[in-house]
Amino acid sequence: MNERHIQLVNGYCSENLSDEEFAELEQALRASPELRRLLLEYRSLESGLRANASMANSPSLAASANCKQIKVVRRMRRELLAMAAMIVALLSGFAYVWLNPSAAPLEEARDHGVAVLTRALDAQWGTTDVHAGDSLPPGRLTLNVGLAEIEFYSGASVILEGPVDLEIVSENAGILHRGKLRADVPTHAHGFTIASADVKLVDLGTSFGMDVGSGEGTHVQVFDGKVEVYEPEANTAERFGLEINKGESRLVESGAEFSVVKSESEAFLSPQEFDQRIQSRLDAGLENWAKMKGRLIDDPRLVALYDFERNPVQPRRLLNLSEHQVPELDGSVIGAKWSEGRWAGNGALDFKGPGDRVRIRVSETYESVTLATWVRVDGFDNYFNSLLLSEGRKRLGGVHWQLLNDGQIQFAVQGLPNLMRKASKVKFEMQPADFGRWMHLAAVYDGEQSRVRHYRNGELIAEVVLEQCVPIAIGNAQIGNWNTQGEGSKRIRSFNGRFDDFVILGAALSESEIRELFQNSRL
Amino acid sequence: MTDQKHSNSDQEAFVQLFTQYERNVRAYVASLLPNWEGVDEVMQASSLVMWRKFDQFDANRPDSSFLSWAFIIARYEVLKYRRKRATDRLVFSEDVFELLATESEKICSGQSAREEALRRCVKKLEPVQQELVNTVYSEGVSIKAAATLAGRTPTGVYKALARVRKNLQRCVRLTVSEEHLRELA
Repeated sequence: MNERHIQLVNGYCSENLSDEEFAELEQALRASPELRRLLLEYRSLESGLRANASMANSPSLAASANCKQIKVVRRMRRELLAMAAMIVALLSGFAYVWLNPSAAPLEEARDHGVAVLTRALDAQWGTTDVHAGDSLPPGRLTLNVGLAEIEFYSGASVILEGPVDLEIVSENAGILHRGKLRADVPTHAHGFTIASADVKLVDLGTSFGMDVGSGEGTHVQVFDGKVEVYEPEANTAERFGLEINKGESRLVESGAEFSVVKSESEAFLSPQEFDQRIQSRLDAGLENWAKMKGRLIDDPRLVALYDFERNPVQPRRLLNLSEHQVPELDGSVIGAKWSEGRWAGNGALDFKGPGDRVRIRVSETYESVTLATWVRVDGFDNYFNSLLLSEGRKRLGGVHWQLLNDGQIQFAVQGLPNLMRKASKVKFEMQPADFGRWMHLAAVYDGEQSRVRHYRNGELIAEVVLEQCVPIAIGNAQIGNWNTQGEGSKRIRSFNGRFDDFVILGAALSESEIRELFQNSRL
Repeated sequence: MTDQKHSNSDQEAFVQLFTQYERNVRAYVASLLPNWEGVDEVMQASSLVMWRKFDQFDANRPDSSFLSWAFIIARYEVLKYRRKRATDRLVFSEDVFELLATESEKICSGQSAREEALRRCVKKLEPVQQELVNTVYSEGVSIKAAATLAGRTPTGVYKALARVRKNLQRCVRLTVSEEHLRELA
């Protein structure tokens, strides 16, 4: 065993060997038991260091890992598969939740994030698609077009203007490979570091802008407080940075030598301007939705339209806006409380208690039906979580539209025993960040084509082909809850969350119509 | 076979054993595969197989330990992974693999003691080295990113890591053998 061999083992551990070097290592391993032992000891080290690092990143999870896993197992008597999947999820530390009957999913989820995407406007991502509310793990984030705001867990927040390529490194550091960002750094995040090819910038509690162009250096501009800039290779611990103060703009280049020169100031989007842009987008969205509502009301296929705005004269009525102004289509609000919808200042009903519900009656019978709603799921308290359920258990044509806490959505119609049991359920995944986030759900029952289609945020998620079709007779029904009308057990199916807008049409909307409905009712 | 194949006490026994020995098995798999995605994938597959076959594991037989049973399953899963990824680089040929696998069982059986020693040894490193260990081994930080943050070149980071490994390996070997001697005394 010589220095060369040790070097090869190191290369192997860093996955940094050429094919020739690897062959050389293999040959040496064959011949030397000591070298094999060294390699194995190094790998054991690597494994231990990695395990320790991931523990250090999530101390609370690691500390109680044992009892948590056992608790999960106790709750999961039913399904072998679910159990196995849970073990896998725990082992691999997925930030993805496997929703499981009678298990409380969220407390088992792990967060590998170091930052949150708080807001995005017209964002087109070059990397994986991310949405407002998602937590972001370390890695590269490419925003091709649009605006985005990211809050690092340290407290520093940055506004990105596409096109931009930012690598998130840790809770308090990033690398700007290309493009423009503005950072606002509170005192908690003192030491927030953004590096580029030209410069390493350490913030001292302030706000600054940074722009990395193609080849002509990095522009740094300080709006408030001061920052320190270092050569990219410098060790910041030595603290010999060059200060840039409030109101100053500098161009930093590190070609043959490191240079910092005065430069023209540039325009960076401030948090206030971002607020304004978002606000004007919200206003436009609200206007779109008002127009869309008008088109729906004119649509002869419309049965009922609830926009969940509180009527001060009859606060316990959920008013139907459709032309069929039959009183029975107005809902009775029971328990649920008026609250804020997906636009600030707009109404919604909040369902929390097991008794909260809205009762409606749809007397007509339809060959096909479309149900669409904006909901915010705050949690799954029960196995079944009602969106719209016809009352009673066995009435022909009754509708069951609900979310199951094992990650399925169901649209079933009474009178189709086979369908009722299995084929009516399709997969519906909820990521941790999906709870508390508004989403658009639609189910289209097409009696002519014999199929049910499920949509989420305007996109088709699944199609179920039916063996037999019966006409839909919603009858007495409940939004956000269920009543068996005395037939059998009263298993609680209450929904935990909010409803804002619910549309019922007596026909099957096409895929493009669902997309249009989503596009014109979203934020 | 039904869903009720495993009783609740089985489930608890399994999770307890698995949690106890997960790190040993992980180190074992890591000794046979160079890349960490592969290690994670094999760990997932192995844990599933262990769970499915847990009724075949008989803890009461005098010659059986959960760990040696788990090593057999993990070894098989590594082989399966290698076949699936035949084009991967840095994959040992069969004879070297066999040599390593057999010797690795011995080392990884003592993984808990090794990791305990490792924690103490990391504290003995110089602050700069400790910082580097924290950066490089936290998930998702590439050598390149770590280099940028530490104000070094990637080559510099590789060299520094080699020194860190050397220090830690010596320290762990010493600590573990001292403890071993103390136990014998």
